[in-house]
Amino acid sequence: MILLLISVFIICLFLRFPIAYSIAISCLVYIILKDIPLIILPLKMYSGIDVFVLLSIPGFILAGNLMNHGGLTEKIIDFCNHLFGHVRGGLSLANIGASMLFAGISGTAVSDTASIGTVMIPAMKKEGYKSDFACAVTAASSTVGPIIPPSVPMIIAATLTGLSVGKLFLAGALPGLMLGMGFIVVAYILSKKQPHKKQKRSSFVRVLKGFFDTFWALLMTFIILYGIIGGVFTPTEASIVAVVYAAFIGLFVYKKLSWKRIPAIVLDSFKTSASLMILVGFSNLLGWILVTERLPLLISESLLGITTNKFVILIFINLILLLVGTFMETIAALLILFPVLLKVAVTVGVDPVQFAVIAVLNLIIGLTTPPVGVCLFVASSIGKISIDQVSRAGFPFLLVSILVLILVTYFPQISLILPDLFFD
Amino acid sequence: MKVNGNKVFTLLEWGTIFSAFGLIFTVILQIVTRRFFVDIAPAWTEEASRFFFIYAISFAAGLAQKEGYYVSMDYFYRKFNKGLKRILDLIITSLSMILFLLMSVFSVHFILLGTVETSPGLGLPMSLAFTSMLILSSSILYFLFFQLIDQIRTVNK
Repeated sequence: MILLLISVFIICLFLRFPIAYSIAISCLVYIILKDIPLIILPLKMYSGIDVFVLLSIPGFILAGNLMNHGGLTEKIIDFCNHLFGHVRGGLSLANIGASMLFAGISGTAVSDTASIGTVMIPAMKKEGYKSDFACAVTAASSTVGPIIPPSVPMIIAATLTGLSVGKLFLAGALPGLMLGMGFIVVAYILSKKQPHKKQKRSSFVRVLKGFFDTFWALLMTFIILYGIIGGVFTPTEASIVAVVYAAFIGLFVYKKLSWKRIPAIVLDSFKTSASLMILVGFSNLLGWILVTERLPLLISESLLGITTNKFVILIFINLILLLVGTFMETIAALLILFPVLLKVAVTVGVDPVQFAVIAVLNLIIGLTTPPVGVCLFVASSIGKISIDQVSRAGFPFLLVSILVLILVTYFPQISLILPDLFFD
Repeated sequence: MKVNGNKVFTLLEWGTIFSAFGLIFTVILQIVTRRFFVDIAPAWTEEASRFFFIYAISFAAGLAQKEGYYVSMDYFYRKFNKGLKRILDLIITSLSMILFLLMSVFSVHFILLGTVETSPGLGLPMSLAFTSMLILSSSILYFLFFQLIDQIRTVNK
């Protein structure tokens, strides 16, 4: 029966049903054949989204959108241009730096690719960089978004396991920075081959002004992290404080946001959140079916039957997650696989907080790999070149991501040092 | 068929905005009361914020369907020819309609279950909260219906 469910799910997925509906239709087939009352559909949907910590997701998405519409993206890019513009590959470094700063307010990779990419890709092309390189830098650097806090996948992981959101946010910070720094090194080396013009060195005063302009964005990240870690706010409260703060900065400090635009931004943010929550709700139903069928136990027993060596198990898990991540959307894959694989990882002695970082890192790598890398699609459509060209140019960045993944997998301190420092 | 200006669309938009602001307001109230007045925020604020959240998501779900916010994998679909794509679109929309039709019908049963329960903090009947599932499923169904009509017209052309 479970094989039928999985087959229906895969067929629906490949026929281009929305992922959430593919999950629901495969569950529906199972429910009908098993003669389970259909009231389970709304019941599991409701219980899946009636979780207090999930309230933070629309909050963080809305705060990011308000900051973006409030003119912050331009200011971040402007600051990074002044900071890096004069060095070799300056604009590509500025692109990565902007993504790292933007990650602190957004939490999703696609919004990062779209926001930074629409400004940076044309600017890089104008300065002489090749289109494929400009798109590849943009797509790769945006993957730091879901790992540097605040992070939507980390909130989902916390919801699935009951782990502290604050701990998971902190656990992702260092790997996120490593990823960004790795991209900067690769972009710097690759820029030798780019026939780009160097910009003039900006004066210290100009760089300082740029810093003060973006200071408000950095302060928002600090408020969120300090609020959650310091026990001042719950994650949901922190997200709403971020919304109020972002609206205030956009309206009264940057003055780029108008009261009239706020309802449209709220609507857009909640439509994005609704698409995620429907996925969460139907995955809750799928999760219930999988547990009823004892699938997590079966997978756990099968994997542990092969070996109980922690390092080998982690290789298996990484390969499974990387493979799934190349075909499936991050949140959907996380919802389905994370609880199942966590059980195996914990059995061989992996810390659940470290495992959350490993899982998220694996799945975000899929955002820049064909055939369904969403960031690749967005970047290639902005740069007006084929996905193949972008993915080829992005290969060195992919190697950096895999290197960071290996380090995070085999050196738990990278993920655990900050949570241990602040929480214990 | 243009549904952009219709009343259902407007109602869902206002429902989303009202619930979203309700959510923001109750969470702010929660923070303010806990930090400045009493050590523990009143329990009803958490419950009210959850209700507003579920309603905001339910109102926005139909709008998200209409505007294509639900992510799908189109790697294989892109390789199909036009005719096959049209047939597939019809199948996807029809099967999705069956899913949300069933969910709408059983949401009514779910609401009836909630009439005998009250929420612990606000003391409201749970059927009120469970009605959100009917809004969610029926609004998606509504926009799927118009999508199906559009697709049939395209096939007929």
